[in-house]
Amino acid sequence: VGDTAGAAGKGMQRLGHDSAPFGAFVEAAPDAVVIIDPEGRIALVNAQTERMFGFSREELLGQPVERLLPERFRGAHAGHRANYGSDARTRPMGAGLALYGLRKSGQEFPVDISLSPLPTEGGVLFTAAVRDITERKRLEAARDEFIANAAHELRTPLATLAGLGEILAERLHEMSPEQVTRALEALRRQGERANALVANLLDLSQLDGGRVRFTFEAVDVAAAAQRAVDAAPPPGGSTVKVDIPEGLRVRVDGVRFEQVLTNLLTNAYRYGGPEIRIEGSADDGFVRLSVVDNGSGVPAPFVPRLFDVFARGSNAESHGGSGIGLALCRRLVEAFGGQIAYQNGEPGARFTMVLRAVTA
Amino acid sequence: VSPTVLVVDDEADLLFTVGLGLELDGYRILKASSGEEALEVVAAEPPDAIVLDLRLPGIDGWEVLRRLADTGVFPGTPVVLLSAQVDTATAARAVDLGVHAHLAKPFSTSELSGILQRLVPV
Repeated sequence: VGDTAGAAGKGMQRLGHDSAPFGAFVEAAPDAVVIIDPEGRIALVNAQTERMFGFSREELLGQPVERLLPERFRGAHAGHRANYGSDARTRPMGAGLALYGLRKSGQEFPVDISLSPLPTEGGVLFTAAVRDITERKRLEAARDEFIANAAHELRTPLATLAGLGEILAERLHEMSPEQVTRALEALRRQGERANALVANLLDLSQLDGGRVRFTFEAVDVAAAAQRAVDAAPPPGGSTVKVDIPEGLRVRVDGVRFEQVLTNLLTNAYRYGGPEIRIEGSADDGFVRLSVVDNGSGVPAPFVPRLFDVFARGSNAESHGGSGIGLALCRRLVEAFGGQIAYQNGEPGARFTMVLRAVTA
Repeated sequence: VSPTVLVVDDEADLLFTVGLGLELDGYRILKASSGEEALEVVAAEPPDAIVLDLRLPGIDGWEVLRRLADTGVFPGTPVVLLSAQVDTATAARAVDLGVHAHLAKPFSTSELSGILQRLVPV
């Protein structure tokens, strides 16, 4: 550290500053700091510049600053630099524009840049503080995709709600009593579905933010499974059989545990076969709890990403997704200290959690 | 005789909703909840128009269109496409294939009625 700080300090001496504290500060800055002379040549760089751009100090000092830019921006940049020189004040560079740096390897990367004039005895220099925003851009892209997927997922219940709302408002008198009953059932079901989706979204965001408080207690597994079935009963034509021995208990947050079970049930109702079982067993100090259906199972390509948020195939229009229900299940089960996994059943889908048993 | 419309959607409540609106318009409704089922229905009883969701389990809406084209049903029989989003790529592909109309969910049932009235009037 002493050497590199010294190197910056030497540069600072050339700039006519009281070198030691200022030089060390610049050298240790988290941003790449590049100081440019009035001709646009690099007069000083700090250690972060070397790390970020992959050039050594020696390779950069005295070079045109455009060396750090992708080629297509170099001509325009030289012009902007001249303009900035005539009206120099501290400001972000390229307001509203996407800015890119160029590493020695030839790789481009997105950056934020702040500019400020630096008056010295030898004239006005310019300081550019460069921040690599690759990670921020990646997070923004992930967030945008998340929002797009959430909107997509909400559209399905909304299509029914909006459609039936319109029909009921305008054509109620033309409808048979059976049609009205069926329409009201569908409204309630899809309203609950939209509601559950929003609740899951909020839970997931709170789990990510570490803002969920769990209340751990010993929970009877068979009773919890029955409450989950009561809360999320099977749709017409489907059945749920609970097959769990008495006395199995796990230490979990009771409300969240039921939420995991209702999510797994809802998943089975939506994507699985009509015969669903919840099976529990004791297994050497652990409780094994499965939700099984007799459908066609999860297609092999989706299995690896099944518990990801909005897991779905590459063609979102073509394949249904599990949305966020399974992602939430995994986060919760892991928060309970357990694990959840998917197996292709015999046939159908089998989701199994393993949780430490509570012994009386 | 009322024209027959085949509605294809894997979401039972949406299938009911679309079917209900068109039934009240005076159409006779056939329903299918997968692409495979849709092809079976078309083979057994050719409809006068098809309302087809793009996103289906098993073979998707595009594949249904392709097979309907192979058997000479489409584009002679008009198809209205439903999809969760109408982005430019999806819309362009639909136009290229000769799809007669394309609606994004959630859509207005009266808009769907209007489109079908133009294609196959009751």
